[in-house]
Amino acid sequence: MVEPIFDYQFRIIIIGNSTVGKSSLLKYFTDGRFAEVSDPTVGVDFFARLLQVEDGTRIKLQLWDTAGQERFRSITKSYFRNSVGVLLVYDICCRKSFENVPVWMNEAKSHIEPHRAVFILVGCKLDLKDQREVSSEEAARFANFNEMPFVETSAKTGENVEEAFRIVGQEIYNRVQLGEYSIHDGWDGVKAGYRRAGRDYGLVEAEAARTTCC
Amino acid sequence: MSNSDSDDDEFESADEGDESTDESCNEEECTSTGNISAVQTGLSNVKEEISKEADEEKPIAAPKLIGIVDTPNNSDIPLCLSEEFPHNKELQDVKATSVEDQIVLTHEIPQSGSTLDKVHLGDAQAHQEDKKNETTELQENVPTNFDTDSLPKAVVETIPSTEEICEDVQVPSQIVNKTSTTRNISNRGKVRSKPTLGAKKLGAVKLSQPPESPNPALSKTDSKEIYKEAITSSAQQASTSSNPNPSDDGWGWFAPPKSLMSSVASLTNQILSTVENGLNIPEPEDLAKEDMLFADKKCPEVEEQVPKQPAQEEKTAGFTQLSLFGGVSNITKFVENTGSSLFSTGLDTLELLGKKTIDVLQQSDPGLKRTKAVLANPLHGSQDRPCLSQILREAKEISEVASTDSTSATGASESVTPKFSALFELHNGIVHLEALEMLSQQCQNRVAPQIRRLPSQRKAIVDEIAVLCSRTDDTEDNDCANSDMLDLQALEQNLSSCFDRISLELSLKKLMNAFRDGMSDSVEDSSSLEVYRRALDSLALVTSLVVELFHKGAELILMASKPSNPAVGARLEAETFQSVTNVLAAEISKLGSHHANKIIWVKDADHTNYSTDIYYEASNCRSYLENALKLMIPILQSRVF
Repeated sequence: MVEPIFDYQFRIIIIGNSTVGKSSLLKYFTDGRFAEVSDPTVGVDFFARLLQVEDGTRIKLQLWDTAGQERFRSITKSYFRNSVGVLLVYDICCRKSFENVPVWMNEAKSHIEPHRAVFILVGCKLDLKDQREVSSEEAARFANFNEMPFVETSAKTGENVEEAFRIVGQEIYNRVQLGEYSIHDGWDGVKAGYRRAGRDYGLVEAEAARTTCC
Repeated sequence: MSNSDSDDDEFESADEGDESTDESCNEEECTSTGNISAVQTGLSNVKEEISKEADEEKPIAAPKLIGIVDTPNNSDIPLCLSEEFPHNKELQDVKATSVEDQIVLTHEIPQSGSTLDKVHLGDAQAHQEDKKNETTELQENVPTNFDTDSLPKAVVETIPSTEEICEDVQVPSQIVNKTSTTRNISNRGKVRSKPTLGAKKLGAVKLSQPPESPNPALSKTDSKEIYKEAITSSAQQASTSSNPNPSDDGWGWFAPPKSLMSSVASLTNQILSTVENGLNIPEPEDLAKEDMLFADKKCPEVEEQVPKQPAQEEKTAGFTQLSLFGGVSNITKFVENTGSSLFSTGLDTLELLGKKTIDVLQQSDPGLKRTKAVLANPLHGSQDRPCLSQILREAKEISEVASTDSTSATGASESVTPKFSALFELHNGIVHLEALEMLSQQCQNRVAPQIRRLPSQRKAIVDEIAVLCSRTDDTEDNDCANSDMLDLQALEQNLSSCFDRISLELSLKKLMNAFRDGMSDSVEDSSSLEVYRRALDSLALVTSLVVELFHKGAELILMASKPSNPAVGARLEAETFQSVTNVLAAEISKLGSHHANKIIWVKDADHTNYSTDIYYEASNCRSYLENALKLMIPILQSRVF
């Protein structure tokens, strides 16, 4: 269990109404299996996984799993800052959770400012298609209008789970390459990972390097 | 500062948050002015201290001085010491060492400027008025008690010139040269400070140098010597009084011990070999010995006596020395203050500093053979002898490259030595700490402007919470020490009753499981490295879960409804978290001992080293908990409103 090597760490926050399946989605992504029983999240929980983007760069996704319950709202607000990616999650079998997505989105945007995060719309519980209350087309339109990608996933079958995180990771990485995001002190959205010898990031290393000694 | 700053990572900012909290509590009225007001209070505190000490210590310091100045043959102090302590000779050594170092200290404090005048000017500017007062006090106090003639004139003069100060410095140097042993020691100082001299020359200098001439040598002391001193003295651990600080590299003369603690906490990914176990660490006298061997082979007794110094004697000697200085002039008063504040930062700071230095050096140079050779060998060519800071920097660079190379080469191979901080991060300890810090920061921003509007009674509670949470009790260890074994059931009951008291519903399941797994004995035929790895992992997991518990506790507290009596409720919460910290820190140290004991049964050569490391990491866990507890302060304070 030695610390795996990665080039970047992206901090991603997962938001949405309670019981839409945020924690299950993350558990599948990090553990590769569906948790039959899931306790409601208290405040925020953390998950992490390595992801390899197209050019082979290794990215550590640090995933902040927030509580969806209303009573935690004031707390979860505190955690938006320093996020570079946002998963807007709703339950395709629950109309209300979809209608709340704009609220979540605006809240995230206002708290992440002045930074701009990568958003993705994620519909959950695709395995329960027959109880669907939100059509794919409608969700896609909303995503289109707000210029964000959209996927429907199932944490039970694992369908599209990997895809959802890969899209976000790749998009953030692209923006890093374009220089839209930079690694700097006081912002933890993007961090440099442990250095690999002979690699050039094209970034200011002095700020970025997380050294292992003092 | 760049060196330590960049590496302190998360904890640096955490600490800053804490400090601002403390400030805002201590001086509610001035919160808006922030740092400036903090500095001002700091200054006024110093002023108070100075004037206080001037009042208190003058009468004590002066008589000793008179005794020494007037009757150099009257061995007033040695006699007194010989009555108190059995090893008179050793004590004289101790004394001499501290005298020597103290002199170095006098010269080295004004790092920003090279002359004593500068300090004095700076000092004078800072406390202009205060100085005047103090001087008058001095003039009034001293003559009434003692014969004015017997005092050096420097006392009367507000700003003595550099030469006069040098004269002052000579007073103790005469004491230094009273015995042959002490002369040896002071000469050792010269040898070090003049690395340019060849071995033969050194011998000659040694014999011919008159006793009153350490000054030129001392004033020439450069950073190289100081660094070397840093190694030697901090390795000695006990030598608090000789605190040569590499301030020009920004290791922080005046750095508060906490920030050092936390910087060391972030350093834990390295395996710290402690000074006590002595493995691979050059004995302080070794460094000295190598110097001496080249310089003069006639004084072996010095090296043998130096390491025997008990801490207590060292301290006594140091204080005596300080009081001597205190009688002389204002500038030495300033030195004295610095000196005593150094005492208060204590052994730990020095010890950690030394460990850190040795550690960085050792990473690229196991056994420190090369470093020792470079530092100690006068034949090496003194002109291009690198200073220690340079060696440290190079060592760091090399080890960085090496560690990244080896990691990428071996991948996730088992052969890589585990690092506590990496494991702590793996178990999400760091990120919980970061999240807790975010909450803490937000509360702080909200609470700070409101504090001044609070009625004084509640303000007192706010202060009390800050005090409760910034002080944890090490002695609680002793209460539980009689039962060395972890009693998980009792622990769980204890914790849950604690949290019930403040009606927090925190799940202890994960934490208890982690403790249970850590305690379960499964010493198959595994290597000591494997046992060591599991020990660190267990400690890191438990510590992470405790930090998580604190984070969750903070979240729940922020959401909880207002207690009927906010002041009492908030204080109860603070007390609860403080005692939970104490209990868990004690349990973690037991867990550490458990692992350390286990590793001894593994038949492997490395076990001593590993078990010491485990003890170290276990004690280091406490500082993580203390950090988390400090982050709780604004959150708990927000409940008072």
